[in-house]
Amino acid sequence: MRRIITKEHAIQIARKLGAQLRPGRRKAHDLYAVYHEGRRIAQFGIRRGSEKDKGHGHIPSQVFLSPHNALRLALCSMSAEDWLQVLRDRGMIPEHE
Amino acid sequence: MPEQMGIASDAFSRLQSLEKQVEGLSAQVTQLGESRPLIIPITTLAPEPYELVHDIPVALQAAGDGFTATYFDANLATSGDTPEEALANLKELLLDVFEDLESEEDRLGPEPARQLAVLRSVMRRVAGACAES
Repeated sequence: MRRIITKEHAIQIARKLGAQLRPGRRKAHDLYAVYHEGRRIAQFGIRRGSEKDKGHGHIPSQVFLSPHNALRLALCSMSAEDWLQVLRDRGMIPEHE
Repeated sequence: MPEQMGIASDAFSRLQSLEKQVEGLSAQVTQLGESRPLIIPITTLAPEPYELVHDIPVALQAAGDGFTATYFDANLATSGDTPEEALANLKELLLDVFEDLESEEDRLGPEPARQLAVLRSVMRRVAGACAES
């Protein structure tokens, strides 16, 4: 059965990555930005509205993961450090010295 | 004669089974076709005080019981319950992200910096419009 990323998953991902809510003038989204060592490395929008099962199929591409791994990140089998290592492997943040 | 009737009956059963398989495959092919992205251009950012240097191609695709809208060059995407909502949401996201990235330009990592560069190449504030802080 195909798993769908929902608003609830997006919220879990935002919490796990320590994403910060950014001020936005418009009404469709809350914009969250992820920082690492003082630098912004990603951002994504979470749709406003109360339904926690609202489709958020865009989230995987915004956090540079496959849908499967984005679900793992939301559901705890992938840690924030695992995610940062994915970004290091892709050259998006420096390797640890 | 009974043997021939048995053979005919087996053949008929196999034929029915094959017909069902073909129906299932046909449905899958149709589904695949429907999940191919549709490319829609954003041609204006009105009523916002921005103008486009050129149209922004947006890939609209079914996702679960909704739709995603993606501007691949900038790796910006969002979702909606309908294709129209997804497209409208993406327009807002492009503007929100553009303004927000500009506000933190001195602390952007490589990918957000690249995204800002892409957005600057396709959109600009209308002369005389002020950015709200």
